[in-house]
Amino acid sequence: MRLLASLVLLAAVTPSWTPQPLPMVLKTGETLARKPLPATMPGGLAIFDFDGDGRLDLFFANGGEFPAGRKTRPEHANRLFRNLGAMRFADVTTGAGVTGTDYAFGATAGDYDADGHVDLLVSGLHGVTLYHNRGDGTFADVTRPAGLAGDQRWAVAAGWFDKDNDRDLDLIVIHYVAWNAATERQCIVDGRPDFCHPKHYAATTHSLYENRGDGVFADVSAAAGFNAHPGKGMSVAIADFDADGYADLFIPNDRVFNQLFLSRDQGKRFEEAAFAWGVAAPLDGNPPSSMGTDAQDFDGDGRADLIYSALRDETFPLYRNTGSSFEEVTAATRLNVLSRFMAGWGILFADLDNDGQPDILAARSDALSVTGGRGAAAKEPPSWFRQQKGRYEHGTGWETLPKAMWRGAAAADLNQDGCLDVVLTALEGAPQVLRHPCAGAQRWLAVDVRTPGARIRVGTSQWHFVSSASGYSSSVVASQHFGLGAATAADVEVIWPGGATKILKAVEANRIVKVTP
Amino acid sequence: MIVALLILAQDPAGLSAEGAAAMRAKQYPVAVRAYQTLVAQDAANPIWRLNLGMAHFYAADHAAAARALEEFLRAKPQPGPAHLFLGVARLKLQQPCEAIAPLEAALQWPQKPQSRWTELADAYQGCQRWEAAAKAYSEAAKLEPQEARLVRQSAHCWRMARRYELAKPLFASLTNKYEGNAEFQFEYGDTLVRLEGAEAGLPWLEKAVAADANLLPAQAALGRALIELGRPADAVPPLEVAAKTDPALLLPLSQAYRALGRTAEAARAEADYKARITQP
Repeated sequence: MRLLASLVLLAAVTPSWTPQPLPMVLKTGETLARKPLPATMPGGLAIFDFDGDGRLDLFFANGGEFPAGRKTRPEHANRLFRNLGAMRFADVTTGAGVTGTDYAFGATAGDYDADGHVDLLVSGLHGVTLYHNRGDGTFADVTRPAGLAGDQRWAVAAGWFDKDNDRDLDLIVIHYVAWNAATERQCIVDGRPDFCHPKHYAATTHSLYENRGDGVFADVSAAAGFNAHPGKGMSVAIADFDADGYADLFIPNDRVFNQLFLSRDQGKRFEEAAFAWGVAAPLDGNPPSSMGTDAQDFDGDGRADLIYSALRDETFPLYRNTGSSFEEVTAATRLNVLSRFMAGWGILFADLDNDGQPDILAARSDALSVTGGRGAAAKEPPSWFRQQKGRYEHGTGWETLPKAMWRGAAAADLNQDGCLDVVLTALEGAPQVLRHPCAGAQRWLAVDVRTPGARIRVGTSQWHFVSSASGYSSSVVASQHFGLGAATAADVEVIWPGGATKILKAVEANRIVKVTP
Repeated sequence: MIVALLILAQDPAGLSAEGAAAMRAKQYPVAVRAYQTLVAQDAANPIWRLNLGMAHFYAADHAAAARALEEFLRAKPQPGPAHLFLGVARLKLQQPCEAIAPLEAALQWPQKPQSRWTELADAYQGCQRWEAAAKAYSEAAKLEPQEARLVRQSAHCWRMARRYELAKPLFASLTNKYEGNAEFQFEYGDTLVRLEGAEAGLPWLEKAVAADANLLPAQAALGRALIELGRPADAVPPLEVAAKTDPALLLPLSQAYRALGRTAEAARAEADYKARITQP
């Protein structure tokens, strides 16, 4: 009886999040008979303020049609939604010039030319497309003059980061596998056509581009050591894992060893150290179907920890950074039993309940087709896991969200009410903006520092690592959101790449504080 | 006597009678010859092919049975015993995936439903369609509730389908019937580890290894569970045993060595792991 009363009370104080669909459909191009591998991979998004009005806008990469692997119809267009405030969004894609022509998977936002306007890079089946933000609400496709048109391999994700601390943003592009429409095979799962296992495709290498500072990028992949390490990359997490002052890269690979590229020689080269650091594969020894990833400090020790999503029975492995290696804590945090039955794509740390302990949210679904052998079982609902002093439990308020082929996920306070909202994408469905009910009395602080590589401390033990890459093939350029619990104020410390530091004492809660070097 | 009659009887009615008599007498090669003659004489009549297929089936010539039954079904595709015999023939030929379609069609035939669910479940299982197999075994178990084996198979297939939450109650219902069965204890323990964590499954994995030390998947699961519980010293022996056939275990083994300060062995195990885990 007491338990029942508790459950009733819990239900009463746990309001549901409100899903709001956006007027577009994420097109995959798959058919009942044809399941080209790229068709299971779209779903990346970017959250950034493209027009400088102080509100966060939404960009969605969209697919296309096969065998061309291009956008052939208007419904294939990428979409840019301008945030009008109060959770209203207007489709401004055409006027902004970001419709795109290539079958697209993800997006990463960053002001690569430091002109104050956030630019956009879209990863696609035939390489990347770089959109320069003109600052007047429109973008120019500068892929060719920027030197990024030469590599037409399948790019699934990317990330802006300042590899050499020279104050301009360099670029990592994640290539999944060598894929060719002409040689695409037909695979059968449980008697029906479905997507093929990644073992049928050759691994490929990732690309590192150095920003020359004049709007042109130089491919430094070979010199930096990337060409010696082929993989089947799905996404990227960027943080200074070894605390040497330079950004490192974690790349989850699909059914082959994950990669950890540690910066060496002031960002001139990278050493692949996944085994030395213990993140090449989970403790059970089986390289999983690693998907999306995120790096943040979940345990408050000031070091960037790691999580990545994977498919069913592989769990979502969580790693604690010890300073010289990673320790897998999936079981110790109970995330193993929570995520065992889940297949995940977008995954990220975010303090959804403003209690000062980073939670985890995941966009879930199988990699197999919903019209393939496993049928509707491929669909799953999205989930979030609430942290309670180092252990995770199922978060509440998402129970009514439907099963779908969820892919991308990103979190940001879209209506500036002090709670993180969540944006999800789903294959052959409309993106959903999940409005946080924001009903609790927990306090918060948003630190407006958007420089990738900056580290922010709030209070004594909350650290954020600013990164352009988030979850699966997605990106957020926004203030860093910290839950404060009951605290009315907190100290803020910001350390920019290169070491410049600023400390603000006793910043009052429930506000956005902009901090500049 | 039957052979003599067969030689004499060349008219269809006589051959048919003799074929039937041979079947009743379990003289299947004789029946085969009778029906082969009938097929040669009257190729348009599919019933001779059905009878020929049945005769081949009972003569344990499953390849020939499958050929004859498929020809019969081309002419008479309605659900009936031919589907069942064809499906079973395919199973006997170690062609479970090819057995599924005829066995699914046989479900439409109202006679002896329990045997068809079991055969269909076997086909699904052989074709590694685990979820379908689990459901089919459950259907078969409803018709033969005294057959614990069918529930056991359903639990096994749910586990293979990674639907541990559905496997667990079935395993739990069978613990008395399979006491001392190492394979059962391993599967139940491994299910509990995945569902509830290492602590929950550990006692069953320990029982499984105690019952059969040669059951390497149980040794592997025990080693992994002990690593998860932070007991590297206890994890080393089972991991060492199981890693001989499962190179993925070399990684947790190297971690266990490292935790125990056995750095040289850790390095060797990790190097071995890297070399043996193929990178597609």
